[in-house]
Amino acid sequence: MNRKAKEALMFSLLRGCAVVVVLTLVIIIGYIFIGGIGKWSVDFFTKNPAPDSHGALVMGGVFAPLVGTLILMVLVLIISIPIGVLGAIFLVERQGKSRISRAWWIVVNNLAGVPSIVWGLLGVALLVYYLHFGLSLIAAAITLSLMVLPIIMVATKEAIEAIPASIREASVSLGATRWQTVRHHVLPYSASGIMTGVILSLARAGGETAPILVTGVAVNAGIPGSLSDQFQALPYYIYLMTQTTNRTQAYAMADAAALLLIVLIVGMSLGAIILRSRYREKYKW
Amino acid sequence: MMANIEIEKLNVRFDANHVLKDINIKIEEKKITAIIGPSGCGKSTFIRCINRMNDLIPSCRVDGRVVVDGQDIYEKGVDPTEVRKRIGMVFQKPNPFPKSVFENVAYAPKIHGKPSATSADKLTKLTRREVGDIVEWSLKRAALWDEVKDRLDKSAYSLSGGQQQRLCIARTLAIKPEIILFDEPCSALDPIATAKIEDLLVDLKKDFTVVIVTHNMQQAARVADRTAYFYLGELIEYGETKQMFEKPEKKLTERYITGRMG
Repeated sequence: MNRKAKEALMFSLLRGCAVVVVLTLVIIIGYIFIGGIGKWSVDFFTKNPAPDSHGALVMGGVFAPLVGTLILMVLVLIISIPIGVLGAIFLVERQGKSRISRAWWIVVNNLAGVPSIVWGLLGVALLVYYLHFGLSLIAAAITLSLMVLPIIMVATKEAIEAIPASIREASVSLGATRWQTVRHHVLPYSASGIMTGVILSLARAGGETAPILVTGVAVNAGIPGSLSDQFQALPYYIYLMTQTTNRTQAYAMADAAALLLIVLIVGMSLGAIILRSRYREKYKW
Repeated sequence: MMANIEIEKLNVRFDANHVLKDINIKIEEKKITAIIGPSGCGKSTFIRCINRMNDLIPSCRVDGRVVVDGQDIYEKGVDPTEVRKRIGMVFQKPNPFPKSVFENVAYAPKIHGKPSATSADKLTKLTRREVGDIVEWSLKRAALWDEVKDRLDKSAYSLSGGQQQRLCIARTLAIKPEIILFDEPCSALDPIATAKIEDLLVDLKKDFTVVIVTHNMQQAARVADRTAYFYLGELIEYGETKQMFEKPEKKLTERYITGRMG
């Protein structure tokens, strides 16, 4: 085979792979859209799941699961951002490239690969029973927060390390302390990168089923009144819909809920992109 | 205001690498002292000892005395951030913050504040007006005011390279230092921008002690009152610039200055 033909062959292969990637996404979203959009109505967003004639909770809407997921995301945001961002800043700014720091980052990177059900196991053993949190919103939120910490930390690290050393030097040479340098320069300039990591981790937290399944989600808990209440969530609702006998109704509801979850996550990603491009305009070097 | 820098038996090591060896040098106030020498001779390391910037490098070990205004800045208990408030630094490549022209110069005065009226140990915030005055004074002193006064709120990155470097000089002037260290400040600039910086240096020595590292011998000859020649981590020769360039005492200096080495 001559090199022209080889090139043609290789590039059709590459194109084929790219097509598989794009097609998968199109098929998933298309399938869910077609299956679910018919169920989107005011009732779908404002009513709680209601039983059909056999008692399966396939009628009504997804109000409580949606609210549960949103509350969960906000809690994860509150818990994981300070710990993840400040922890990563400490490791990068104070420990630099020391051996301890490198060991830390190996741990963090490996944590990112721990399966979510293992996090659930930790949550149920440590939080629910050992610390007596019970099956609750807070136990689930902490479990999910721990799970997404590595994502936030790695994103923060990369964003911080992208800032040229010369900018840090400039601040330090003016007599600024290290904290002043972090506060006035490192944090603002890396905010867009950190935000991307945060949103990614939120999307991950909002879509997880396994960790919340064992730490506090319940079939018909309604809107949680406090942190120690159980709650409902969209991914768990979708899972339930695939388990009932009334398939025509349940699968349509599952598709509608899945579509909502995807819209939520894509919306957040879009928000992140817009925020990031604004920040890029402001801080670029 | 005194700003004599007396350096005695300064030794700097990066791990096992002995970068500066037994440096003894006295830098006079309100003069320009140039540090010249081939790449890797320790010029930059030397200048970074004077404001303790080498503290940022974990593997760096500094021994000896660096006495500024009668105080050894490496003595125990000396806060390096206080040292750097008195000794400004301008770097090789212009490194303005990705903020507005105004914010670049206002940064240091804002974070440092001023001694409060009630107690000398406490610091209070500067008023907007005071910050504005310092910014204007600094930019004027750095010969940049006329070029940027109408675009103080524009990004510092919209300025040309030479303007950015003068902005960095203004930024360091805003801490009202006694000494300003320049680490090859013109190496990234064209000849016209370089000439402006050199004029500025000569003007600055009226009020400040200036130490400049340069790899450009003509630059040292043009601006410096005194010149020090470093080679392989040692101070080979130090004296009046004119004498160094016309009648160097050491063979090594002569070879470097005449371009036969380095």
